[in-house]
Amino acid sequence: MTHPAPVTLSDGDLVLSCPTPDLVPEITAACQDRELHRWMEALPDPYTEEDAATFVRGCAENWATGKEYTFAIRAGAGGRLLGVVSIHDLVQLTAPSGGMGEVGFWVAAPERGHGVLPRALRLVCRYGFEELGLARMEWQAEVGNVSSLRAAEKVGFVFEATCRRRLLHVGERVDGWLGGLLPEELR
Amino acid sequence: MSQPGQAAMAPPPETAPVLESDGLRLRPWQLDDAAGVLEIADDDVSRRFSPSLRTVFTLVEAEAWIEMRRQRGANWAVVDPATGELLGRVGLHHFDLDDRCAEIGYGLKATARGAGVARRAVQTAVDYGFGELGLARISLEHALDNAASCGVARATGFVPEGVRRSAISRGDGTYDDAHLHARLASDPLVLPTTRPVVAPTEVVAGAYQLCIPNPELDAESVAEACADPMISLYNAGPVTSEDAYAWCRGRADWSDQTHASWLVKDTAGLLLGTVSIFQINDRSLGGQVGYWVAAPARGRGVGTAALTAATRFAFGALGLVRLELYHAIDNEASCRLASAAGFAFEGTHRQSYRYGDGLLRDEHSHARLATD
Repeated sequence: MTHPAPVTLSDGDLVLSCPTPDLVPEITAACQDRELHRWMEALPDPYTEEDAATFVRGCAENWATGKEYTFAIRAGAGGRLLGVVSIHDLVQLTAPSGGMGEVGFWVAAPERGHGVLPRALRLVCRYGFEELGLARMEWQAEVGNVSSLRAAEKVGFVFEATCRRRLLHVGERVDGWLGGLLPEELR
Repeated sequence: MSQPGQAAMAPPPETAPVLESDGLRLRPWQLDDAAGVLEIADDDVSRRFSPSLRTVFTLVEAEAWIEMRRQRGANWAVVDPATGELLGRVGLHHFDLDDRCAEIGYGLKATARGAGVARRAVQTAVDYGFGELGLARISLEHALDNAASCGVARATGFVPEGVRRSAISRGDGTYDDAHLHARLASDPLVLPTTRPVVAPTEVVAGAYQLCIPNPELDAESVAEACADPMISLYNAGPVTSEDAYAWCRGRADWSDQTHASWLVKDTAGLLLGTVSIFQINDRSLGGQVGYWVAAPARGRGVGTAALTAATRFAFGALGLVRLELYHAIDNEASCRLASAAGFAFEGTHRQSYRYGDGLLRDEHSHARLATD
């Protein structure tokens, strides 16, 4: 199976594309925010420029292998970094699930509260359904991460389950929320 | 999850049950353990930190110590299951049935220390206390100077709460400060770091047996069972005998440690169904469980027995902490079976799996935790 080359998605305002090395300082700065560490289990802590460089290299590799599709969210072409959004944990289109991916995202602290996330999520979910041919998108968050839930609901995710002790958080096992989005529900 | 003030706890048992877990056996005390008890007692660390063993110097005194433990239910001898060698002691005591509290105590003989025996024994007794007895809180105290005991407490999720000053007699008129820890049933699960490598193992499932598939022997009957309309819809499996041969071979090969799969048979060796723990994840220590029951064997509790036995194996031998179970929402028999085997309903995943008729269906997710 061939994998799509990195693409640029835009709604005329936000521009989403595979993270590039020039973003390393901005990613490093954004990932000092304790609020991100509160909810993101996989984020190295402390977070260094080297971690950001590793992350950027991994994004290109994952696009190449079709493992994950990660986008930097920027304010216009070449604009400042607002956040990151990805489709990961992809299930093959030929699998009985009919093709499924999970969305993951974060927004830099100064950029929150301006509706960046729903707009970016909408672009990425549309890409997943229309270009990757997925039949279902999933969203998971630690119980209590209300801003993540709000963003997912804004684009049409339907809350489906509370999964006890399903997620790991800094070595602790925590309860998770799970939502699903079908192609016709995206808004 | 236990809800404080809701369910009552079970009183401690009259005789401690045998618990097998993590390479250890916890069993009731026997009078002929006296020599082993003397060995535990006759050690500087035990005399310093275990008040009850401080006065045990003879076989008669050791027998009296054992008799006391036999009279209280939840006290165990910790033994090596391979050799029967007595390694140490663990017990729950000071039960408060109204508040659903108890205290845990433990100790090892000198040669058994440093190998994680205390940690595993405490974890096993804690699982029993929360799981079987319905305790809400287990406290743990050790002399402030006893760093090894503090390490065991922390490694098993007992959170330090404070110091009770001069609370433990040293037996010479002076006292040790006690470091108090406690663990709640509602605390986050302690994360085990490793999972044992498991070879294909047959398991008793009530009146039935979970067997390792044998392609030569089983392929024909597997293909026959999978021709059933219910199974081909909800658990589409091998149709031809060649496919069934390969299916049996795959399910008998546990070498990649991502699944543990069995055929369910009766005592005469007749195929009744299958059960499998799959998608085993070494990081999250989670897995999924799937099963089907052959048409002629339905309505006899085969599914419940098989699912219960496989679940016990998953939480015991495989070291998993969470098992998920998915079924199409129109498969009500499967939903009943999941609930009967203790898998709590968690949600409805819409259009999440393409079934044997080619249609995406909504599924229920159920899950059971090792601590449920």
